[in-house]
Amino acid sequence: MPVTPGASLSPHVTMTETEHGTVLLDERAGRYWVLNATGTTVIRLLLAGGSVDDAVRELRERHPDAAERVTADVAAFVRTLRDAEVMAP
Amino acid sequence: KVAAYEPPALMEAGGF
Repeated sequence: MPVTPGASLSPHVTMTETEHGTVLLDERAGRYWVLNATGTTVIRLLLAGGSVDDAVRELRERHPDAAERVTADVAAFVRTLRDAEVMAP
Repeated sequence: KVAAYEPPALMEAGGF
């Protein structure tokens, strides 16, 4: 899995909570993103030192009906974070 | 009550 425990945001990215959800601000590119609830769960877990497998496990526990698709969804999400340079390499 | 599952998503919302 591409994100190792101890992952961090890129230096130019700031994360904050707003009334509209979790927002990531890219101060270098001058753009911002919004995370949905499950995305927030995953990124918080990764930033707290959890692994991708930990994130998969957490989502499976919360949504057992979606257990089969969670692994692929989290992997795709992590790729998106990488492609957007949100996470530090 | 648990919210329905949505795949984790990062949505670009604009620029400043």
